[in-house]
Amino acid sequence: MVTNVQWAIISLSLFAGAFNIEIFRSGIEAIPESTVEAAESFGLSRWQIYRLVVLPMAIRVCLPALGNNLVNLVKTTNLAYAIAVPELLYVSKQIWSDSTNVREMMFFVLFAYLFLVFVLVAILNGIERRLAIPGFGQQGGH
Amino acid sequence: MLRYRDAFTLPAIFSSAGFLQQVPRGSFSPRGEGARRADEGALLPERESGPSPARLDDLRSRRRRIRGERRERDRKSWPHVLSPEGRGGAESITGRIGFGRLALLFVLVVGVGAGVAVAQQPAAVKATSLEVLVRWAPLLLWGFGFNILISIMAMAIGTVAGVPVGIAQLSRFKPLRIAAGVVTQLFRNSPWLVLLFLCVFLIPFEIRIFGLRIPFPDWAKATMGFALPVMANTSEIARGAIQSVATGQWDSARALGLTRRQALYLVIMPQCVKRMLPPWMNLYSLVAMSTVNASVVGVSEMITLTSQVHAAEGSRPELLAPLYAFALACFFIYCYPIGKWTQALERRYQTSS
Repeated sequence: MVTNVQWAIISLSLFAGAFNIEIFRSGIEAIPESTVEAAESFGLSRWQIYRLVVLPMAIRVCLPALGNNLVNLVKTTNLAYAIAVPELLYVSKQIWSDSTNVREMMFFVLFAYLFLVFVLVAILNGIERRLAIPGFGQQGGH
Repeated sequence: MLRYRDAFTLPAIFSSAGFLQQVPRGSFSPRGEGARRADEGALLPERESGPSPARLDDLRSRRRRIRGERRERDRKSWPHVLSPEGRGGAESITGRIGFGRLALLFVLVVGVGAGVAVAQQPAAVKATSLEVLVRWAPLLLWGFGFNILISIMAMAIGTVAGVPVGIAQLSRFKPLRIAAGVVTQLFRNSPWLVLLFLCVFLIPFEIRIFGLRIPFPDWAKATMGFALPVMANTSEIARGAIQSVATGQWDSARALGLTRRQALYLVIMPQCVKRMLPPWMNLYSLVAMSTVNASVVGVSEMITLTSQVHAAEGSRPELLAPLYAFALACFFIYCYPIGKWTQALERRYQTSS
Protein backbone atom coordinates (compact mmCIF):
# COMPACT_ATOMS: atom_id res chain seq x y z
CA MET A 1 0.00 0.00 0.00
CA VAL A 2 1.34 3.38 -0.94
CA THR A 3 1.35 5.83 1.93
CA ASN A 4 0.42 9.48 1.64
CA VAL A 5 4.03 10.56 1.81
CA GLN A 6 4.88 8.24 -1.05
CA TRP A 7 1.93 9.53 -3.06
CA ALA A 8 3.19 13.05 -2.53
CA ILE A 9 6.68 12.04 -3.67
CA ILE A 10 5.33 10.26 -6.74
CA SER A 11 3.05 13.05 -7.92
CA LEU A 12 5.56 15.78 -7.23
CA SER A 13 8.20 13.81 -9.11
CA LEU A 14 5.93 13.61 -12.12
CA PHE A 15 5.18 17.30 -11.78
CA ALA A 16 8.81 18.37 -11.55
CA GLY A 17 9.94 15.80 -14.11
CA ALA A 18 7.71 17.36 -16.73
CA PHE A 19 9.66 20.59 -16.38
CA ASN A 20 13.03 18.91 -16.27
CA ILE A 21 12.40 17.22 -19.61
CA GLU A 22 11.89 20.58 -21.27
CA ILE A 23 14.85 22.10 -19.45
CA PHE A 24 17.24 19.36 -20.55
CA ARG A 25 15.93 19.48 -24.08
CA SER A 26 16.54 23.20 -24.38
CA GLY A 27 19.94 22.82 -22.74
CA ILE A 28 21.08 20.14 -25.15
CA GLU A 29 19.73 22.05 -28.11
CA ALA A 30 21.64 25.11 -27.00
CA ILE A 31 24.98 23.42 -27.69
CA PRO A 32 26.15 24.80 -31.02
CA GLU A 33 26.53 22.55 -34.00
CA SER A 34 30.14 23.57 -34.53
CA THR A 35 31.11 22.25 -31.12
CA VAL A 36 29.72 18.84 -31.94
CA GLU A 37 31.43 18.92 -35.31
CA ALA A 38 34.73 19.81 -33.73
CA ALA A 39 34.33 16.83 -31.42
CA GLU A 40 33.48 14.66 -34.43
CA SER A 41 36.65 15.74 -36.19
CA PHE A 42 38.62 14.57 -33.16
CA GLY A 43 37.25 11.13 -33.92
CA LEU A 44 35.04 10.81 -30.89
CA SER A 45 32.14 8.42 -31.10
CA ARG A 46 28.57 9.62 -30.73
CA TRP A 47 28.39 8.45 -27.13
CA GLN A 48 31.75 10.00 -26.31
CA ILE A 49 30.69 13.30 -27.82
CA TYR A 50 27.56 13.20 -25.77
CA ARG A 51 29.27 12.28 -22.52
CA LEU A 52 32.43 14.38 -22.80
CA VAL A 53 31.32 17.43 -24.75
CA VAL A 54 27.60 18.00 -24.98
CA LEU A 55 26.46 16.97 -21.55
CA PRO A 56 29.02 18.94 -19.48
CA MET A 57 28.11 22.07 -21.40
CA ALA A 58 24.40 21.39 -21.43
CA ILE A 59 24.34 20.93 -17.67
CA ARG A 60 25.89 24.33 -17.21
CA VAL A 61 23.34 25.86 -19.54
CA CYS A 62 20.51 24.09 -17.73
CA LEU A 63 21.66 24.81 -14.23
CA PRO A 64 19.82 28.10 -13.61
CA ALA A 65 16.58 26.68 -15.00
CA LEU A 66 17.00 23.49 -12.98
CA GLY A 67 17.56 25.57 -9.90
CA ASN A 68 14.40 27.49 -10.66
CA ASN A 69 12.52 24.28 -10.92
CA LEU A 70 13.91 23.09 -7.61
CA VAL A 71 12.89 26.31 -5.89
CA ASN A 72 9.45 25.99 -7.39
CA LEU A 73 9.26 22.42 -6.22
CA VAL A 74 10.13 23.41 -2.66
CA LYS A 75 7.31 25.89 -2.79
CA THR A 76 4.96 23.27 -4.19
CA THR A 77 5.69 20.58 -1.60
CA ASN A 78 3.28 22.21 0.80
CA LEU A 79 0.44 21.05 -1.44
CA ALA A 80 1.03 17.71 0.27
CA TYR A 81 -0.90 19.35 3.08
CA ALA A 82 -4.06 18.41 1.20
CA ILE A 83 -3.36 14.70 1.62
CA ALA A 84 -2.41 14.94 5.29
CA VAL A 85 1.32 14.57 4.86
CA PRO A 86 2.87 15.92 8.06
CA GLU A 87 4.88 18.68 6.40
CA LEU A 88 5.45 22.21 7.65
CA LEU A 89 2.03 23.60 6.87
CA TYR A 90 0.17 20.58 8.17
CA VAL A 91 2.10 20.49 11.42
CA SER A 92 1.61 24.23 11.82
CA LYS A 93 -2.09 23.79 11.39
CA GLN A 94 -2.11 21.17 14.12
CA ILE A 95 -0.26 23.58 16.35
CA TRP A 96 -2.52 26.54 15.70
CA SER A 97 -5.68 24.54 16.14
CA ASP A 98 -4.29 23.38 19.49
CA SER A 99 -3.02 26.65 20.82
CA THR A 100 -5.08 29.11 18.69
CA ASN A 101 -2.11 31.19 17.61
CA VAL A 102 -2.98 31.34 13.93
CA ARG A 103 -1.29 34.64 13.22
CA GLU A 104 2.05 33.76 14.76
CA MET A 105 2.15 30.34 13.14
CA MET A 106 1.13 31.77 9.76
CA PHE A 107 3.99 34.24 9.78
CA PHE A 108 6.36 31.59 11.06
CA VAL A 109 5.44 29.34 8.14
CA LEU A 110 5.84 32.19 5.67
CA PHE A 111 9.28 33.10 6.93
CA ALA A 112 10.34 29.49 7.25
CA TYR A 113 9.62 29.00 3.55
CA LEU A 114 11.30 32.25 2.63
CA PHE A 115 14.36 31.22 4.61
CA LEU A 116 14.37 27.82 2.93
CA VAL A 117 14.11 29.35 -0.53
CA PHE A 118 16.82 31.92 0.06
CA VAL A 119 19.22 29.32 1.46
CA LEU A 120 18.51 27.11 -1.52
CA VAL A 121 19.09 29.96 -3.95
CA ALA A 122 22.38 30.79 -2.25
CA ILE A 123 23.53 27.18 -2.50
CA LEU A 124 22.51 26.96 -6.15
CA ASN A 125 24.31 30.18 -6.98
CA GLY A 126 27.38 28.76 -5.28
CA ILE A 127 27.18 25.59 -7.37
CA GLU A 128 26.77 27.65 -10.51
CA ARG A 129 29.84 29.67 -9.67
CA ARG A 130 31.89 26.57 -8.87
CA LEU A 131 30.94 24.85 -12.10
CA ALA A 132 31.47 27.92 -14.24
CA ILE A 133 33.96 27.46 -17.07
CA PRO A 134 36.02 30.57 -17.88
CA GLY A 135 34.96 31.93 -21.23
CA PHE A 136 31.77 29.91 -21.42
CA GLY A 137 28.75 32.07 -20.79
CA GLN A 138 28.42 34.60 -17.98
CA GLN A 139 29.67 37.59 -19.78
CA GLY A 140 29.33 40.92 -18.04
CA GLY A 141 30.84 39.80 -14.77
CA HIS A 142 28.08 38.22 -12.73
CA MET B 1 -8.69 10.27 2.98
CA LEU B 2 -9.02 8.93 -0.51
CA ARG B 3 -10.78 11.91 -1.93
CA TYR B 4 -8.25 14.37 -0.57
CA ARG B 5 -5.55 12.49 -2.33
CA ASP B 6 -7.28 13.05 -5.61
CA ALA B 7 -7.89 16.65 -4.80
CA PHE B 8 -4.18 16.92 -4.47
CA THR B 9 -3.03 15.01 -7.49
CA LEU B 10 -5.38 17.01 -9.67
CA PRO B 11 -3.67 20.34 -9.28
CA ALA B 12 -0.39 18.60 -9.89
CA ILE B 13 -1.64 17.02 -13.07
CA PHE B 14 -3.24 20.25 -14.23
CA SER B 15 -0.13 22.14 -13.53
CA SER B 16 2.13 19.74 -15.28
CA ALA B 17 -0.12 19.79 -18.32
CA GLY B 18 -0.04 23.54 -18.57
CA PHE B 19 3.47 23.96 -17.35
CA LEU B 20 5.11 22.11 -20.19
CA GLN B 21 4.99 25.09 -22.45
CA GLN B 22 6.81 27.56 -20.27
CA VAL B 23 9.94 26.15 -18.88
CA PRO B 24 13.05 28.22 -19.54
CA ARG B 25 11.60 31.65 -19.13
CA GLY B 26 13.66 34.23 -17.36
CA SER B 27 11.15 36.97 -16.79
CA PHE B 28 8.98 34.97 -14.50
CA SER B 29 11.21 32.72 -12.60
CA PRO B 30 11.61 32.84 -8.87
CA ARG B 31 15.23 33.76 -9.20
CA GLY B 32 15.11 36.68 -11.53
CA GLU B 33 18.49 37.78 -12.73
CA GLY B 34 20.41 34.58 -12.34
CA ALA B 35 17.90 32.56 -14.20
CA ARG B 36 17.78 34.83 -17.15
CA ARG B 37 21.35 34.01 -17.89
CA ALA B 38 20.51 30.54 -19.07
CA ASP B 39 18.57 31.82 -22.00
CA GLU B 40 20.91 34.53 -23.04
CA GLY B 41 22.49 34.29 -26.39
CA ALA B 42 25.75 35.42 -24.86
CA LEU B 43 26.38 31.83 -23.92
CA LEU B 44 26.85 30.72 -27.42
CA PRO B 45 29.99 31.15 -29.45
CA GLU B 46 29.79 32.17 -33.08
CA ARG B 47 29.17 29.47 -35.59
CA GLU B 48 32.18 28.47 -37.57
CA SER B 49 31.93 28.76 -41.29
CA GLY B 50 35.40 27.78 -42.45
CA PRO B 51 36.22 24.35 -43.85
CA SER B 52 37.04 21.65 -41.36
CA PRO B 53 40.41 19.93 -41.40
CA ALA B 54 38.83 16.56 -42.05
CA ARG B 55 39.32 15.55 -45.65
CA LEU B 56 37.84 12.12 -45.94
CA ASP B 57 35.08 11.95 -48.49
CA ASP B 58 32.75 9.67 -46.66
CA LEU B 59 33.13 11.76 -43.56
CA ARG B 60 32.29 14.80 -45.59
CA SER B 61 29.15 13.44 -47.09
CA ARG B 62 28.04 12.22 -43.71
CA ARG B 63 28.70 15.61 -42.22
CA ARG B 64 26.83 17.31 -45.00
CA ARG B 65 23.80 15.25 -44.23
CA ILE B 66 24.08 15.79 -40.48
CA ARG B 67 24.65 19.46 -40.96
CA GLY B 68 21.55 19.78 -43.08
CA GLU B 69 19.50 18.16 -40.40
CA ARG B 70 21.05 20.24 -37.68
CA ARG B 71 20.62 23.45 -39.58
CA GLU B 72 16.96 22.69 -39.93
CA ARG B 73 16.78 21.98 -36.22
CA ASP B 74 18.82 25.03 -35.24
CA ARG B 75 16.65 27.24 -37.34
CA LYS B 76 13.79 26.13 -35.16
CA SER B 77 15.50 26.09 -31.82
CA TRP B 78 18.02 28.90 -31.90
CA PRO B 79 15.81 31.95 -31.96
CA HIS B 80 14.55 31.31 -28.47
CA VAL B 81 18.04 30.71 -27.19
CA LEU B 82 19.27 33.86 -28.81
CA SER B 83 16.40 36.15 -27.92
CA PRO B 84 17.59 38.87 -25.56
CA GLU B 85 14.71 38.67 -23.12
CA GLY B 86 15.07 34.94 -23.00
CA ARG B 87 11.44 34.40 -23.72
CA GLY B 88 11.51 30.96 -25.14
CA GLY B 89 9.65 30.50 -28.33
CA ALA B 90 10.55 26.88 -27.99
CA GLU B 91 8.03 24.54 -29.37
CA SER B 92 6.93 22.60 -26.40
CA ILE B 93 5.77 19.06 -26.13
CA THR B 94 2.20 20.22 -26.15
CA GLY B 95 2.95 22.37 -29.14
CA ARG B 96 3.87 19.30 -31.13
CA ILE B 97 0.90 17.25 -30.15
CA GLY B 98 -1.67 19.04 -32.24
CA PHE B 99 -5.35 19.22 -31.77
CA GLY B 100 -6.23 15.88 -33.28
CA ARG B 101 -4.10 13.98 -30.84
CA LEU B 102 -5.22 16.29 -28.11
CA ALA B 103 -8.82 15.35 -28.72
CA LEU B 104 -7.78 11.71 -28.71
CA LEU B 105 -6.01 12.21 -25.40
CA PHE B 106 -9.05 13.88 -23.94
CA VAL B 107 -11.36 11.09 -25.07
CA LEU B 108 -8.87 8.63 -23.64
CA VAL B 109 -8.77 10.32 -20.24
CA VAL B 110 -12.52 10.51 -19.91
CA GLY B 111 -12.93 7.09 -21.45
CA VAL B 112 -10.48 5.44 -19.06
CA GLY B 113 -12.17 7.18 -16.18
CA ALA B 114 -15.57 5.96 -17.28
CA GLY B 115 -14.19 2.53 -18.11
CA VAL B 116 -12.71 2.11 -14.65
CA ALA B 117 -16.04 3.14 -13.24
CA VAL B 118 -17.99 0.71 -15.40
CA ALA B 119 -15.62 -2.12 -14.61
CA GLN B 120 -16.02 -1.56 -10.90
CA GLN B 121 -19.76 -1.11 -11.11
CA PRO B 122 -21.61 -3.77 -9.17
CA ALA B 123 -24.60 -5.13 -11.08
CA ALA B 124 -27.09 -3.13 -9.09
CA VAL B 125 -29.62 -0.40 -9.77
CA LYS B 126 -27.23 2.39 -8.84
CA ALA B 127 -26.78 5.22 -11.29
CA THR B 128 -23.94 4.81 -13.77
CA SER B 129 -21.10 7.24 -13.70
CA LEU B 130 -22.35 8.88 -16.89
CA GLU B 131 -25.75 9.48 -15.34
CA VAL B 132 -24.11 10.91 -12.26
CA LEU B 133 -21.96 13.19 -14.40
CA VAL B 134 -24.91 14.39 -16.45
CA ARG B 135 -26.96 14.99 -13.33
CA TRP B 136 -24.29 17.01 -11.59
CA ALA B 137 -22.64 18.66 -14.57
CA PRO B 138 -24.50 21.98 -14.14
CA LEU B 139 -23.35 22.28 -10.54
CA LEU B 140 -19.80 21.27 -11.37
CA LEU B 141 -19.65 23.66 -14.29
CA TRP B 142 -20.97 26.39 -12.06
CA GLY B 143 -18.12 25.61 -9.72
CA PHE B 144 -15.71 25.78 -12.64
CA GLY B 145 -17.13 29.18 -13.56
CA PHE B 146 -16.38 30.22 -10.02
CA ASN B 147 -12.78 29.11 -10.47
CA ILE B 148 -12.53 31.23 -13.58
CA LEU B 149 -14.09 34.18 -11.79
CA ILE B 150 -11.58 33.91 -8.96
CA SER B 151 -8.70 33.64 -11.40
CA ILE B 152 -9.81 36.65 -13.46
CA MET B 153 -10.35 38.81 -10.40
CA ALA B 154 -7.05 37.77 -8.85
CA MET B 155 -5.32 38.53 -12.12
CA ALA B 156 -6.99 41.94 -12.40
CA ILE B 157 -6.13 42.95 -8.85
CA GLY B 158 -2.65 41.53 -9.11
CA THR B 159 -1.91 43.29 -12.38
CA VAL B 160 -3.26 46.65 -11.29
CA ALA B 161 -1.13 46.43 -8.15
CA GLY B 162 1.86 44.72 -9.72
CA VAL B 163 2.72 46.98 -12.64
CA PRO B 164 3.24 50.07 -10.43
CA VAL B 165 5.36 47.95 -8.08
CA GLY B 166 7.39 46.81 -11.08
CA ILE B 167 7.91 50.40 -12.19
CA ALA B 168 8.80 51.32 -8.61
CA GLN B 169 11.52 48.69 -8.70
CA LEU B 170 13.28 50.88 -11.25
CA SER B 171 12.65 54.13 -9.42
CA ARG B 172 15.52 56.53 -8.91
CA PHE B 173 14.33 57.11 -5.35
CA LYS B 174 16.26 54.48 -3.42
CA PRO B 175 13.87 53.73 -0.51
CA LEU B 176 10.99 53.20 -2.94
CA ARG B 177 13.14 50.96 -5.10
CA ILE B 178 14.21 48.87 -2.14
CA ALA B 179 10.69 48.62 -0.73
CA ALA B 180 9.29 47.51 -4.08
CA GLY B 181 12.08 44.96 -4.44
CA VAL B 182 11.47 43.54 -0.98
CA VAL B 183 7.71 43.26 -1.56
CA THR B 184 8.28 41.54 -4.87
CA GLN B 185 10.81 39.05 -3.56
CA LEU B 186 8.76 38.36 -0.45
CA PHE B 187 5.61 37.34 -2.29
CA ARG B 188 7.38 35.73 -5.19
CA ASN B 189 9.44 33.38 -3.09
CA SER B 190 6.77 32.21 -0.72
CA PRO B 191 4.48 29.31 -1.59
CA TRP B 192 1.08 30.17 -3.03
CA LEU B 193 -0.71 27.94 -0.58
CA VAL B 194 0.87 29.70 2.39
CA LEU B 195 -0.17 33.08 1.03
CA LEU B 196 -3.66 31.71 0.51
CA PHE B 197 -3.79 30.53 4.12
CA LEU B 198 -2.43 33.85 5.26
CA CYS B 199 -5.20 35.77 3.52
CA VAL B 200 -8.00 33.42 4.41
CA PHE B 201 -7.14 33.27 8.10
CA LEU B 202 -5.91 36.78 8.71
CA ILE B 203 -8.33 38.96 6.74
CA PRO B 204 -11.43 39.66 8.85
CA PHE B 205 -14.71 38.29 7.54
CA GLU B 206 -16.23 41.74 7.37
CA ILE B 207 -14.96 45.27 7.27
CA ARG B 208 -16.81 48.22 8.78
CA ILE B 209 -16.34 51.60 7.22
CA PHE B 210 -18.45 54.42 8.64
CA GLY B 211 -20.98 51.99 10.03
CA LEU B 212 -21.22 50.33 6.62
CA ARG B 213 -20.61 46.63 6.80
CA ILE B 214 -18.75 45.16 3.90
CA PRO B 215 -18.83 41.39 4.14
CA PHE B 216 -15.70 39.63 3.04
CA PRO B 217 -16.62 36.09 2.07
CA ASP B 218 -14.23 33.19 1.79
CA TRP B 219 -13.83 33.39 -1.95
CA ALA B 220 -12.97 37.09 -1.82
CA LYS B 221 -10.25 36.35 0.70
CA ALA B 222 -9.00 33.52 -1.49
CA THR B 223 -8.95 35.94 -4.43
CA MET B 224 -6.74 38.24 -2.39
CA GLY B 225 -4.58 35.24 -1.59
CA PHE B 226 -4.04 34.59 -5.28
CA ALA B 227 -3.66 38.27 -6.08
CA LEU B 228 -0.57 38.61 -3.87
CA PRO B 229 1.71 36.23 -5.78
CA VAL B 230 0.23 37.52 -9.03
CA MET B 231 1.20 41.02 -7.99
CA ALA B 232 4.77 39.96 -7.26
CA ASN B 233 5.11 38.05 -10.50
CA THR B 234 3.57 40.85 -12.56
CA SER B 235 5.97 43.23 -10.90
CA GLU B 236 8.89 41.13 -12.07
CA ILE B 237 7.42 40.78 -15.55
CA ALA B 238 6.99 44.54 -15.78
CA ARG B 239 10.51 45.19 -14.52
CA GLY B 240 11.96 42.68 -16.96
CA ALA B 241 10.01 44.18 -19.84
CA ILE B 242 11.07 47.73 -19.03
CA GLN B 243 14.69 46.70 -18.68
CA SER B 244 14.58 44.81 -21.95
CA VAL B 245 13.78 47.99 -23.88
CA ALA B 246 16.97 49.26 -25.46
CA THR B 247 18.68 52.13 -23.63
CA GLY B 248 18.71 54.07 -26.86
CA GLN B 249 14.96 54.50 -26.52
CA TRP B 250 15.44 56.33 -23.23
CA ASP B 251 18.21 58.46 -24.71
CA SER B 252 16.24 59.42 -27.78
CA ALA B 253 13.20 60.20 -25.65
CA ARG B 254 15.34 62.55 -23.62
CA ALA B 255 16.72 64.05 -26.79
CA LEU B 256 13.14 64.88 -27.77
CA GLY B 257 12.83 66.82 -24.53
CA LEU B 258 10.62 64.37 -22.68
CA THR B 259 10.95 64.08 -18.93
CA ARG B 260 11.72 60.69 -17.43
CA ARG B 261 8.09 60.17 -16.54
CA GLN B 262 6.91 61.16 -20.01
CA ALA B 263 9.50 58.89 -21.58
CA LEU B 264 8.26 56.02 -19.44
CA TYR B 265 4.59 56.48 -20.24
CA LEU B 266 4.84 57.64 -23.85
CA VAL B 267 7.81 55.71 -25.17
CA ILE B 268 8.82 52.79 -22.97
CA MET B 269 5.55 51.41 -21.63
CA PRO B 270 3.81 51.10 -25.02
CA GLN B 271 6.69 48.88 -26.12
CA CYS B 272 6.52 46.90 -22.91
CA VAL B 273 2.88 45.87 -23.33
CA LYS B 274 3.87 43.65 -26.21
CA ARG B 275 6.74 42.10 -24.31
CA MET B 276 4.74 41.58 -21.16
CA LEU B 277 1.78 39.88 -22.79
CA PRO B 278 3.13 36.33 -23.26
CA PRO B 279 4.56 35.89 -19.74
CA TRP B 280 1.48 37.58 -18.34
CA MET B 281 -0.78 35.09 -20.09
CA ASN B 282 1.39 32.27 -18.84
CA LEU B 283 0.90 33.62 -15.37
CA TYR B 284 -2.83 33.71 -15.95
CA SER B 285 -3.04 30.05 -16.89
CA LEU B 286 -0.92 29.29 -13.84
CA VAL B 287 -3.39 31.20 -11.66
CA ALA B 288 -6.35 29.49 -13.30
CA MET B 289 -4.82 26.12 -12.46
CA SER B 290 -3.94 27.21 -8.95
CA THR B 291 -7.48 28.23 -8.05
CA VAL B 292 -8.17 24.60 -7.15
CA ASN B 293 -5.91 25.22 -4.15
CA ALA B 294 -8.81 27.22 -2.75
CA SER B 295 -10.59 23.93 -2.08
CA VAL B 296 -8.05 23.34 0.69
CA VAL B 297 -9.41 26.33 2.58
CA GLY B 298 -13.02 25.41 1.90
CA VAL B 299 -14.04 27.77 -0.90
CA SER B 300 -16.84 26.07 -2.81
CA GLU B 301 -15.07 25.90 -6.14
CA MET B 302 -15.00 23.01 -8.55
CA ILE B 303 -12.87 20.51 -6.62
CA THR B 304 -14.77 21.16 -3.39
CA LEU B 305 -18.05 20.65 -5.24
CA THR B 306 -16.68 17.54 -6.90
CA SER B 307 -15.89 15.97 -3.55
CA GLN B 308 -19.30 17.02 -2.25
CA VAL B 309 -20.99 15.48 -5.28
CA HIS B 310 -19.00 12.34 -4.67
CA ALA B 311 -20.17 12.28 -1.08
CA ALA B 312 -23.77 12.93 -2.16
CA GLU B 313 -23.64 9.93 -4.47
CA GLY B 314 -22.70 7.72 -1.55
CA SER B 315 -18.92 8.06 -1.82
CA ARG B 316 -18.76 5.12 -4.19
CA PRO B 317 -15.10 4.59 -5.12
CA GLU B 318 -15.96 3.86 -8.76
CA LEU B 319 -17.23 7.43 -9.14
CA LEU B 320 -13.93 9.00 -8.14
CA ALA B 321 -12.20 8.61 -11.48
CA PRO B 322 -14.96 9.96 -13.73
CA LEU B 323 -15.78 12.89 -11.48
CA TYR B 324 -12.19 14.06 -11.18
CA ALA B 325 -11.50 13.28 -14.83
CA PHE B 326 -14.34 15.65 -15.63
CA ALA B 327 -12.75 18.37 -13.50
CA LEU B 328 -9.39 17.71 -15.14
CA ALA B 329 -10.93 17.89 -18.58
CA CYS B 330 -12.58 21.23 -17.81
CA PHE B 331 -9.30 22.79 -16.73
CA PHE B 332 -7.39 21.28 -19.59
CA ILE B 333 -9.87 22.55 -22.16
CA TYR B 334 -9.69 25.98 -20.62
CA CYS B 335 -5.93 26.26 -20.16
CA TYR B 336 -4.62 24.52 -23.24
CA PRO B 337 -5.87 27.09 -25.79
CA ILE B 338 -4.45 29.85 -23.61
CA GLY B 339 -1.10 28.11 -23.74
CA LYS B 340 -1.28 27.72 -27.51
CA TRP B 341 -2.28 31.33 -27.92
CA THR B 342 0.63 32.43 -25.75
CA GLN B 343 3.03 30.45 -27.90
CA ALA B 344 1.60 31.99 -31.04
CA LEU B 345 1.99 35.48 -29.59
CA GLU B 346 5.54 34.72 -28.53
CA ARG B 347 6.47 33.59 -31.99
CA ARG B 348 4.85 36.59 -33.60
CA TYR B 349 6.45 39.16 -31.33
CA GLN B 350 9.79 37.49 -31.57
CA THR B 351 10.03 37.94 -35.30
CA SER B 352 8.61 41.44 -35.39
CA SER B 353 10.65 42.96 -32.58
